[in-house]
Amino acid sequence: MKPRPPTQREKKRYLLFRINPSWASPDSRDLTAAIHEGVTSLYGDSEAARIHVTLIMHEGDMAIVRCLRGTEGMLTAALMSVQEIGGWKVGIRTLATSGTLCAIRRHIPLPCPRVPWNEGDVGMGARTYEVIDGGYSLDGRVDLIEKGFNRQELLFLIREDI
Amino acid sequence: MHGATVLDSGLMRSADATVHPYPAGDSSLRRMAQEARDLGYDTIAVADVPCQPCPGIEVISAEIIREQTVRGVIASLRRVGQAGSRIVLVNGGDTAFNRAVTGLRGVHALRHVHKMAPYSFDPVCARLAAVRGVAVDLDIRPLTRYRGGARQHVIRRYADLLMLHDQYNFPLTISTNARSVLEQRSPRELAALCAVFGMTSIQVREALGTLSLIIEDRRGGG
Repeated sequence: MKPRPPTQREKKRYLLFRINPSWASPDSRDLTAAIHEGVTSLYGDSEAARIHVTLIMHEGDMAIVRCLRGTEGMLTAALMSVQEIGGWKVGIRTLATSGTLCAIRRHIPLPCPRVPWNEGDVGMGARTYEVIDGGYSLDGRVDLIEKGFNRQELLFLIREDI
Repeated sequence: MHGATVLDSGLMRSADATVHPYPAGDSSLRRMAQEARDLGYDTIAVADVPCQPCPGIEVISAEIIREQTVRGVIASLRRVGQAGSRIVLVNGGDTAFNRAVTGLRGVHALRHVHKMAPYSFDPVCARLAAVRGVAVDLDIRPLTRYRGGARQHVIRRYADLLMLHDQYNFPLTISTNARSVLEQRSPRELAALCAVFGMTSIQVREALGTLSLIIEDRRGGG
């Protein structure tokens, strides 16, 4: 099949976003399903078809989606309603919007180095937590998960809180 | 009017009107403040926990009054006045309650519009809120967490409120009501969410600046 000439193609926009927390690293299939659920639940099938969202790239906590030009605001709102992917509570943070894939890739931030945590488990109240991802970020962000089998709670702190 | 003042002054400040740090939520106050600063806010109002200074962002204490009677609200306001909370938000109720609360001295914002009965925030309340400078808080949390009929109800309620806002120009505030850093949203993301019920980006910027104006009013003894 002959491809359409560029002038007859629909104009697209690319949206770069980060999945927080960075260690959640969901499966691409779960991410796609969550995005589609977010768009469809907020705008319905007809608007979802018009937005035409497609996951283009997903590496670690960064992802790029493509949508129809003019619908990037709607897509951003729909992404905000994504609360959980693959059983993990997540928050999506949009970083940049661009008209070309090449330009949006330039906005992907470099991975932030982590400072190793060597001080063992952390006690908060009557509960004990362990540090996730083996350390904390350079700006002091440290994520904790409760030790145990049932109802493991997450805590998001900074170094000075401990 | 608050909105006009924000635009005219050219100083667009951004404030998240309510966040709930640990132990009400799963993130510490410092972490939420750091996140808010990175998202582009200069002020956050913190409910349920004692306030503490954080670098690069103004953290103010917010008292949420959850009483269902006007007498209860008055008693709480007296207690809050002694505790020295900076911002007082009251959960809305029926029409009579909303009218009475909007007229009380010391109330800065009426919240939980989406939980009120239909049309209980009526034109009389709207006019009173505009005259007294009492803001109405738009809670973004139900827009992101609810699904189906519940979310449609919230969108309808906010669209109705916006119609009254256009007519009477009472101040609006926007709160993420975040209980986690994962639920905090940037002003741009809030604008995209608020567009769902027809709020323009200019109205969102005005609403984000309202809290700072209330704080400045209080500092000036207003």
